[in-house]
Amino acid sequence: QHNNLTSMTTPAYIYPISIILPTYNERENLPIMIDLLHKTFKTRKVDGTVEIVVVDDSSPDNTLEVAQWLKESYADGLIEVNILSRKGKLGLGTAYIAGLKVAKGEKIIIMDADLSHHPKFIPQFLDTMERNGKDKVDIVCGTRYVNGGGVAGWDLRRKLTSRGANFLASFLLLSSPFGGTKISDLTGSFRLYERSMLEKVLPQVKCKGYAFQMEILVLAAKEGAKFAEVPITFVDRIYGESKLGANEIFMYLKGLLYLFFTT
Amino acid sequence: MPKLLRYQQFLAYAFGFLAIWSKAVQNQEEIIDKLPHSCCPTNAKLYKLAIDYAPIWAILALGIWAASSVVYGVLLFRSCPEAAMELDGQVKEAKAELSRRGLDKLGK
Repeated sequence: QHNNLTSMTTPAYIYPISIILPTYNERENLPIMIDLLHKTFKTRKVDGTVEIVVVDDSSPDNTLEVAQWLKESYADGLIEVNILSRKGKLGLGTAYIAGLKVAKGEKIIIMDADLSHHPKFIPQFLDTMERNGKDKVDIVCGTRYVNGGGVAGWDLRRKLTSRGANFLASFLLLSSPFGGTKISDLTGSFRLYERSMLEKVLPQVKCKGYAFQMEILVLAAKEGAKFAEVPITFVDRIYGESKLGANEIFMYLKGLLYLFFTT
Repeated sequence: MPKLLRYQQFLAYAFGFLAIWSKAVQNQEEIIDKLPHSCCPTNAKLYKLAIDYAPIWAILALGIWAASSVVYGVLLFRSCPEAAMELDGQVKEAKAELSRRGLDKLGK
């Protein structure tokens, strides 16, 4: 039994960055997202090709067809669209996990595909992660609440709900008389992850909905992750179609209590 | 020692507070004597009220702090309609580029 020391090992990370985009009925928005991302990396050079992993859950509007067209149209080495098509509407959490499994990037960006998150902030995320050098940051969170951030399309009631929910979560899960962990936007879903941290934490996540985003951060904090924040603007174009109904609120509180008692 | 879970941390602080409080209630006369201006009976009454109902005041203070934090946060919460407008413009540009690349020819 002699180890073949000359055997080839495939590098795990052949892209500097993978962007995971879960899609469900995003036939209209996905092409615009890809074009915006393409423009972003035209001006912000990275060392290699940026991978975009589209995880589509059998969208009835045939987002898959558009994704395949985009893959061909934008195959120019600047970005590379890779598609994971799943049978059935399986949910956001498993979409991230499945996307992470096929992604081959060193760093992982997770963002929404409905244009509420703007790719123009990605360079700031990257700079924030890179500039710390020895003081390495594991997760850079986009935050709507800090100076420079904000939301377009929310009324007072929605802002109140959002701030209230974040305060409650922060108080119950992260606060401490000795300082605690300072993350201002716990339910935000526009983040840059060091791959190893995400791989460690994501399989442990059990919550669904908004609490899912919180659980990732809370579990990462337990693993000693270092965080940084970047102000982002969030454009809510589908406000009116309830993205925040009684069911979402109930699931959120349930998730919050679960985390309060288990972390 | 493994780190306490969040609910355990809260319980620890609650029990700590209650322990100190019950001691304070037991020894309230001594404590009030040592407080400034307690020879005056109204002050003494206020001090006694403060000590006797300390947990209530603590919860009230917590509630007020929480409410003000949220209200403050909402007041500072920026609305950025210009971001929506900028996006609209970029959507138009993107659609033109996609059309140029032939997206429109994709059958429904």
